[in-house]
Amino acid sequence: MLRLVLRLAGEKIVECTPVMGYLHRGLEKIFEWRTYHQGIRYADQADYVSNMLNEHAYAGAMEAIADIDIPRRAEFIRVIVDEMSRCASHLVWLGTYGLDVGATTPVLWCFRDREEILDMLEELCGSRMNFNYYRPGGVLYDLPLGWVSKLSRFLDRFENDIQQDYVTILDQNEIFLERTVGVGTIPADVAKAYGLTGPMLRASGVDWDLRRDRPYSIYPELRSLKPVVYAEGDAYARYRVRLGEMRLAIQILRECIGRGRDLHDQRRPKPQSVPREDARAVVREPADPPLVA
Amino acid sequence: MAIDEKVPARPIDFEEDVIQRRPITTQVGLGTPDEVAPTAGALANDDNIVFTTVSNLVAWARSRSPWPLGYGLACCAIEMMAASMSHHDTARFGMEVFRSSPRQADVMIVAGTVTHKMAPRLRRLYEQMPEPKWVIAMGNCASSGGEFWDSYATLQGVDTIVPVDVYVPGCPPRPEALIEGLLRLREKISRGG
Ligand code: SF4
Repeated sequence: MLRLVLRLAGEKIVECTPVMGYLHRGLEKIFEWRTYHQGIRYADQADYVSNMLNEHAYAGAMEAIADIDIPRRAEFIRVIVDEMSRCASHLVWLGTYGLDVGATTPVLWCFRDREEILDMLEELCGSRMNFNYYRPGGVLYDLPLGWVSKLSRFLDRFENDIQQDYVTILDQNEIFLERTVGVGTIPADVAKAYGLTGPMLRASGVDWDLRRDRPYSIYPELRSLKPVVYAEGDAYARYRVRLGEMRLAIQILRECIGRGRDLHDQRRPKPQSVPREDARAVVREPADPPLVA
Repeated sequence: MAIDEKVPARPIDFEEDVIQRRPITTQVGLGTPDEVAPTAGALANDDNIVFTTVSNLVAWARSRSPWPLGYGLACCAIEMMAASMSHHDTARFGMEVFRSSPRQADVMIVAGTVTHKMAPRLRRLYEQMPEPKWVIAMGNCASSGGEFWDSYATLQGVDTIVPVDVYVPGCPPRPEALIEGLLRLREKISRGG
């Protein structure tokens, strides 16, 4: 929920003032009043379209404070759910972006694919959104039986959908190109000065991906992780980056499935007592929130 | 029945008396042209003649396609979108036409957390909606404050500023739950509520 006050010159926006605070729910204060475990549920709502990624950041902070190490299997599961969540988030973006520039069909397709991702995540933890799935030192449940093969079947279908549906309908669509190419160009230095992150930044030609440049979890081991960067900095480049990231997520998921399949690491993390005085460090801990901009 | 006994008066229930009793052939996709309803009853015969009051008819017509105001505020809004998309498809019930202007909307689905900053705007949008109007509080936040019950920035339930017709609990409610809420609202409207 963001209010934008615009000044227009004809069809061109010459000034834009964001008005913040319509969705200020006082999360920071609430985090202070909750226990560590209760906080996971609130981390979900920081960005409610890519919930798993927020949980990862929050869990990472907890683990950094209490010095907890994580079983490798849990790390693989975390990356799998992260990347699925990223796809779900990009699908919402793609669909609503299409709607906003006047294409109604993509949103129906995007939500079709998103439903499948949510169904799988629901099977995993019982909720379609706001999962509450991460735990300090791991995740809540192991993958259910047959879940991985379901996922790989979905990936094949999804890869096909991206190519057949989204690319076909948008990539060379004249109206879409007209409304995105060269629109809203953000040069690299402006992007950095404004503190843009994620796909927004990478679409401005800045090769910066936290998964690679400030590595966490098992991302450094993944061979398929090649950040998607486009130099143009316009709305079309941002669309391309997100589409590319969905393809990248498919590659990462395939690699995780392939390598994580034989991991039967049922080791439990050692119980730790958390130092009290560090309780306020949680939200500041740079445990890398790979939030989607 | 003796001739001077009064027939007990009963308000006409459209779902039961009209929809259920009309010839099967008029229900799209059901039956073949030769199949007709067993006995059409007193209210509807094979020529589909219906007697009712104007207010009943109006309530019935209103209940069939309330247009929602697209008022997504937080997480619940994503599920509201999902409810109107291909998989759950509220278009089946004539309720998918999300309006961007309160002046064209019948029902306000408050989907998400209402902050103190948003509350006056919400009230204003509600007042801009033409009568008759209904409100659905979607999610725990809109119903009662939900998990932000002790936040300094949020409203503890949207019913503190506008009258709510249907509460849909959940955090977020599944799209099916929202559809259930919409159908309950439909019942309420067709009863003239
Ligand atoms: S009820 Fe839950 S899902 Fe809905 S807006 Fe509130 S916190 Fe978000």
